[in-house]
Amino acid sequence: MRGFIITLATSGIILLLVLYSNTLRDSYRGMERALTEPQSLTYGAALFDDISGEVNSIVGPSVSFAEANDSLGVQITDTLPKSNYSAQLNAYETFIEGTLANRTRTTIDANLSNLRTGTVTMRINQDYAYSAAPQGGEMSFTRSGGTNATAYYINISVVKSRAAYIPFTFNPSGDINVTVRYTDLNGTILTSGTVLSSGTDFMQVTHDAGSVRINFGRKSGNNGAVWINATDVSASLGMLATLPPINSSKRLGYSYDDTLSYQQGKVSIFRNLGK
Amino acid sequence: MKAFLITLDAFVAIILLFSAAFLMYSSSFQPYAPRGVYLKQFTNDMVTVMEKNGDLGSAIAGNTSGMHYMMGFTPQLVCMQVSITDSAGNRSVTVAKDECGEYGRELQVIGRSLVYSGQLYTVKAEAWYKKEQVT
Repeated sequence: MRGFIITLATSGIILLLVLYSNTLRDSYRGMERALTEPQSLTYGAALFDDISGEVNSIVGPSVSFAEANDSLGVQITDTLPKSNYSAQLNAYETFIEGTLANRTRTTIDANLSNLRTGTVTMRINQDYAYSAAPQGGEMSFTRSGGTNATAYYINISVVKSRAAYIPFTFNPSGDINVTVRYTDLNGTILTSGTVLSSGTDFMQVTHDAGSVRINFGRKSGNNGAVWINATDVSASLGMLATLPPINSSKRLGYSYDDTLSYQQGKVSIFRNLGK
Repeated sequence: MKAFLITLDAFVAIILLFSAAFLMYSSSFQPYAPRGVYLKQFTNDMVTVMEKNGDLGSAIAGNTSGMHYMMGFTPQLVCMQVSITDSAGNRSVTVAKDECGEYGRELQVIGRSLVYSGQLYTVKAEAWYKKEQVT
C-alpha cells in the first residue's frame, strides 16, 4: 500500500514538472510571437516611408528640421514656380501599384491627384502649411492662427538681369527678424531688418522679363506668414524659419495631401504620404 | 501475492517514468531568439542608407564601390546581396557582400522603389546569416 502511495506521489510530481515545462514553452512562444508579429507592420511602414521619399524626390520640396531647446528650425529648399510633374507622378504611380506591388507581394493603391494639379501642398509638423504653385501662382508658408515665427532667412537665386529693385521698408518695432539674400546676374542683395507679423512688408526685384516679390506679415488673417510671387522667373528658393518648439501633441515631419493605401496579409496602412 | 503487487507497482512506476520522460522530451522547447526581425530591420536600414548616400544610383551608373564599401560595415555573420531591376524587369546591377557563400538560415528579403535620373527601379535586398556559423 505504501509503495502505491509513493508511486502516486512521484507520478504527481512528474506531472507537475510536465505542466511547468509546457507553461514555460508557451511563455517563450508568446514572447517570440510578440517580437515577430509586428515585423510585417514594420516592413509596411518602411515601404511607405520609401514611397513618400521617392514622391518627395520627384515633386519636392526638400525639408529638414533642427530642434533646439527653445526653438525649431524648419529649412525648405524648392524651386519656384513649380513645374508640372504629372507625367513623372503618373509613371511612378503605375510603377508602384504594378511592378513594385507584384515584386513585394503587396497591394498598393496611391492617390496622387492633388500633386498632379501642379501645386504642392504640404503640412509641416501637422501644423504649418507650405504651398508652392506652378506659373502664375505663389509659394506660401502660413499657419492657422499665425506662425509665431521669430525669424526668417530667405535665399533666392535667379539667372536673370535686374531691372529694378524695391527694398523692404522694415519696422524697428517689428517682431520677426528677416534676412533676405537675393542673387541674380547683377550680383547679390543682402538685406535684413524686422517686420511686423501683423503687418505687411515686401521687397520686389523686377527683371528684364518677370519679377520676384517676397512678402512677410499677415496673410488671409494669419500673422507671421511669408509668401513669394515669382512671375515669369525661375527661382531657386532656400528658406529657414525659426519657429517655437514643436507642440508635444504634434508629430515632427511633413505630409502631402495625397494618400497611399498599403496592404500585405493582415497588415493594412492608409494615410497621407509623408515622413 | 505481495511479490506480485510489488512487481505490478514497479511496472506501473516504470511506465509512468517513461511516459513522463517522453512527454517532457516532446514538449521541450529550444529558446530561440527571432534573429530574422533584427536581420530584416538591418537590411531595410542598410538599403535606406545606400539610397541616401547615392550608392544605389552610382551602382546603376556603373560604380558599385560605394555599395561594396557599405556592405563592408555589416556584421561578419551577416551576408547581403542587393539587386536593382529597371521597370521593364531587366536586371541592372547585382552587388553581393564579399566572402559570402550560398544562402544560409534566416533569409530575409525586402523590396523598395528607386527613382534615379527620371527612371524607375525596384531594389531587392536579400540578407542571411552565414551557414557555417549558425549553431
